[in-house]
Amino acid sequence: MNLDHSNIEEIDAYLRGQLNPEEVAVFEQKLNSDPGFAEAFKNQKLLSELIKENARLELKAYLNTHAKTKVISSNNWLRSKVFAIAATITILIGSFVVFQYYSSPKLEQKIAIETSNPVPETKRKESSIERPDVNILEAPEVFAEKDIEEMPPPTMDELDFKDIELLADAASPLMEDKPESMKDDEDLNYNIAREIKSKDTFLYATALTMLDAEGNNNSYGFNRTTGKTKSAQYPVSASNSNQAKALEDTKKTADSSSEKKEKLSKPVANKTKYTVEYWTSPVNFKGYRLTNTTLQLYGLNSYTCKLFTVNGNLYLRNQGKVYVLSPCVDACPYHLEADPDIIQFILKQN
Amino acid sequence: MLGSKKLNDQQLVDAIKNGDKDAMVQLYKDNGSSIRNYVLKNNGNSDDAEDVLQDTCIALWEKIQNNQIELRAKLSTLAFAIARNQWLKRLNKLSKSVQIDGINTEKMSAHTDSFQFDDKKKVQEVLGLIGEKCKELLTLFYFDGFDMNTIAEKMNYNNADTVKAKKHQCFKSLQEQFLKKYSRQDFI
Repeated sequence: MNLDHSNIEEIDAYLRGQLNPEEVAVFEQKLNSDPGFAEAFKNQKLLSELIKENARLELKAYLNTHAKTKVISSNNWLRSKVFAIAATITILIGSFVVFQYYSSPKLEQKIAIETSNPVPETKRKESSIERPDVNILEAPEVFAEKDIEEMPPPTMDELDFKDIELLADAASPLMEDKPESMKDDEDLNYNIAREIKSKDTFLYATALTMLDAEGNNNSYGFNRTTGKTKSAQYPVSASNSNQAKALEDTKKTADSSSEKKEKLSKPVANKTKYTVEYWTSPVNFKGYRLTNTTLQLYGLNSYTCKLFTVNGNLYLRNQGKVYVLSPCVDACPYHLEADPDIIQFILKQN
Repeated sequence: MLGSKKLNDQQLVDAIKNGDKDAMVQLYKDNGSSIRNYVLKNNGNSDDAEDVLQDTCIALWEKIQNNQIELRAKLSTLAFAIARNQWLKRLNKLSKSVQIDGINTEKMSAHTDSFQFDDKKKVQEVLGLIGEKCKELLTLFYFDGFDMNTIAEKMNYNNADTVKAKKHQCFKSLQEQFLKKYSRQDFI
């Protein structure tokens, strides 16, 4: 192992190809003649290769951490950036549409409520037959006098001009064929069917349905569909009066506003009134919103819907299908009822 | 590197000569799809493809560092040629006899180095015998092929002579410790 300073240098120079041909010849001569030098050369060559290999491994490790993981994103980073921008735009447009879609019914709900400006009770009794459309939401048995006073009439600034026009139109189609007994019994007159356009969604009919916990269903709506209201028969399972009462209670707690009203008044008729609004949407959304007593139905292109309460649950019948409606603030899809007994029962009703 | 301007071939070569590892990452990315496709089309799996791609980048790095490359052709052409060689070598090693581009790999003479470094751990072990500074210096000298002046600049040594002395010291230390623990036969 005769490796002095100059030997290492010489071998390096040879390995790096830095010797001129003469020097190379001398060097190789030495390799062949001097076994000790040859041994030293071999060792040095191996070590230099080991150093190189180690460097390669380190570079590989660098590639593995810096290039491999980024291949997907950075190989096409420009493309992915474009994609990201496109996706952002799509999401923005999409959320705008959705926002428009879901925010507009609120606006229309306001109009519907304001349309239902109640007339004082004395006046109403005289006018209910001539102008049934005005007394839209009024049900004196349920409302105490106090409540009526509390309800402010719509102020001018709450409705813009266009709305007023539409409301004036809305007053025209009346339910003249409605049996008078119904008015006396139910104290309910309601009819608005107007096409009120708002942004993208489209309210084309409104109806009011009164339901009690016993499954009685009174539905008034558009002239075409207003038939004689029939009392639904209570299903066997809930014929027990105690049970019915319990259902009423749960219903009351579910609707805090009606609960308050019922507390103030004598609960002559334990009925929950539902304002039913028929909406269409350009994106062909199908579903419903059920908040308090307002039911908004989307995508049902007929006025043939009927509401039923069975066992305290609210059901919707439309074209031979029965959907169960649970309270739903945001839009919910229509769920078909699974219980065949309830379906049969509801389908049997008029 | 990400988001920075893409370097052209000459800039890439300059950057690699400067020891910029991100330039190698760009090489990797620029040539990734063509090299991977080549290996995959020629009896390789995705692991083979990844290995060949990495080896190619490193080989290019080495060649550029050691001034073995003149930019007559495009860097991507060069990279592809290296990759092809790498893959043929590998197939030869695996003694897979297949026809690639009309070449029977079996006929290729085993023009391989006399050293085999299949055991990566052992390689790293050997270099672990010396300190990081020494390892860096020896790497810059043997792997990158830099001269003493460049190494002095890169490693903040006063001058080439200091580097020379330091390098001699480091190499001797490595050699001594290596011979204590291993023999050359371990790597042949």
